Amino acid sequence: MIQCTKCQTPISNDRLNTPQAVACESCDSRLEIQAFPALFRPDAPGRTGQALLADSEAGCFYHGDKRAVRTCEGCGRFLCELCDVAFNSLHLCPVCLEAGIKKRKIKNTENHRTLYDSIALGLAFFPMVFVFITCITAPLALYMSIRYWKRPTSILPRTKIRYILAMVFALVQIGGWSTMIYAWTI
Amino acid sequence: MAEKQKIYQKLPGKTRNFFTGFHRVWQGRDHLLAVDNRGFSEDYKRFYYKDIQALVMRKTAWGKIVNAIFGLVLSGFFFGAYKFAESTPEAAWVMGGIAVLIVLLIAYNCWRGPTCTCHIKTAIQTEKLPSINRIKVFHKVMARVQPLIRDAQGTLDPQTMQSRIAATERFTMGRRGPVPAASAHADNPEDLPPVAGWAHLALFLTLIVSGALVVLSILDHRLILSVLGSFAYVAITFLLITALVKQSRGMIDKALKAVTWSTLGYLMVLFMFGYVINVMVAIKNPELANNHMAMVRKTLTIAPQENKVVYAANLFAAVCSFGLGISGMLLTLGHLRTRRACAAVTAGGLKPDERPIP
Repeated sequence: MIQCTKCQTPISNDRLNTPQAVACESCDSRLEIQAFPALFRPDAPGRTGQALLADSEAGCFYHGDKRAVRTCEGCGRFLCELCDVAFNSLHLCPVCLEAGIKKRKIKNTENHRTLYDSIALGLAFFPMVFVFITCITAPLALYMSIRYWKRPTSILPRTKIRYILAMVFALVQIGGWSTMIYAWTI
Repeated sequence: MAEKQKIYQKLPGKTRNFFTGFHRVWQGRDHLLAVDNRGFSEDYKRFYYKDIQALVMRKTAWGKIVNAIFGLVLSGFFFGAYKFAESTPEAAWVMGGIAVLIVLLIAYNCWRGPTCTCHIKTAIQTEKLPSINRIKVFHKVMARVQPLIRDAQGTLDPQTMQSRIAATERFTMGRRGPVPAASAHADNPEDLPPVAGWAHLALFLTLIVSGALVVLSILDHRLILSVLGSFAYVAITFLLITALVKQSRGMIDKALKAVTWSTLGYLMVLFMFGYVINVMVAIKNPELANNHMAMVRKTLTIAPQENKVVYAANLFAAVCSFGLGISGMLLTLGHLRTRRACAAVTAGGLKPDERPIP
């Protein structure tokens, strides 16, 4: 069931995939809805796991009274229908799935990344407005650029230009401070 | 890097928001990737082509409202340029330059076309895609994504489609009103009951009245107008607090929400102007610095024509009061109409034979 995104009123199915925008029956908002076959796909039946019928049958590692139907592709443990998680054409147990997400070993599970290159560039660039704090932030920016150089940044296409710029800015600032200190001491 | 570039391709549309960051949707091999970039981190949401049930685009009036606000600001700058043309031509040139810039912004906004919001629906969620905020962009995205979704899900022939629609109609028929509040999920603001809107209506009415008082004060300054303006300022502050509290507890149109928050910004800028004027008065009249009432009286008696800062403050107040007041009033009336229509539908109720089959 599709609802109007403004007033949450359900939209009748004859208003789907129309060439022109249609008005919501309740709030009169102009809506254009492109529906796909997945909308009409019946929900998959819930799995319960079959009980063990004979002693010779293999049981699930996590549910001893359920019949094993598959082995985990991560740890090799026997799994019943309940414990078998199909993801990215892999069949894993919940523990392996969680560990894989934590260790970033499973593709397409990451939902957050810290952009160390942007942090390094920000640390090298923005403090220049206040001048004096650059004596602290410039070495920090340089450290971050070197420390996190090999760390993955965004999962989108991205070059190392931010790290390079951060290092250039940081080196220029460090050079400036060194020159000033040298001039003072003389 | 070459491998990375093959994985995701940019889709048209992007949004940059000061508070929520930079939003963009990318096209992957088997999924769409919605990216929220917050400067130093990124959040990702994946929508697999096989799971996408629908893309819903709703036309919004936000583009027209922005143009109306720009138009009002533009008229303010033109008026200012005209006023300063003889006394200070430099100021008139600056104001004229800003006016030309605003005209370009209006032209750019018109060229981008009507605004919209886009939601993507899967079996378990309906997620907003902030980057798709123009109808043109929505159609471009659809042209690229539709074939991929059809490849992943296949196509249904009309007969099968009709039979499945009929099957789903059994569950949805009769439900033509908004989702009842009792079943709503409190975490989602869209599931909260709608805000009544009367506090907003009073706020924007008072703003328009305050704008009218300021215009009268510019044309013919009188003490009574300044006093009434001050009372209007206090009333607006109280009404604004009420409106903000109310909108935080219920569902309201995002544009209306934004206008209400913008009113807070306007009040803060006006407060800053008042502070600067007070400091100026205190510097010029040090003998009044310890007499608060005398200070207030002196501040209120300054005519806009006498002082450029007061004139600028009045001009700013007039433009913002009318801009925010009129746009807010129109949005509030729209909200009230929507609410009334929803209430009428809900009051109709469901007939016993139309209740969803459990």
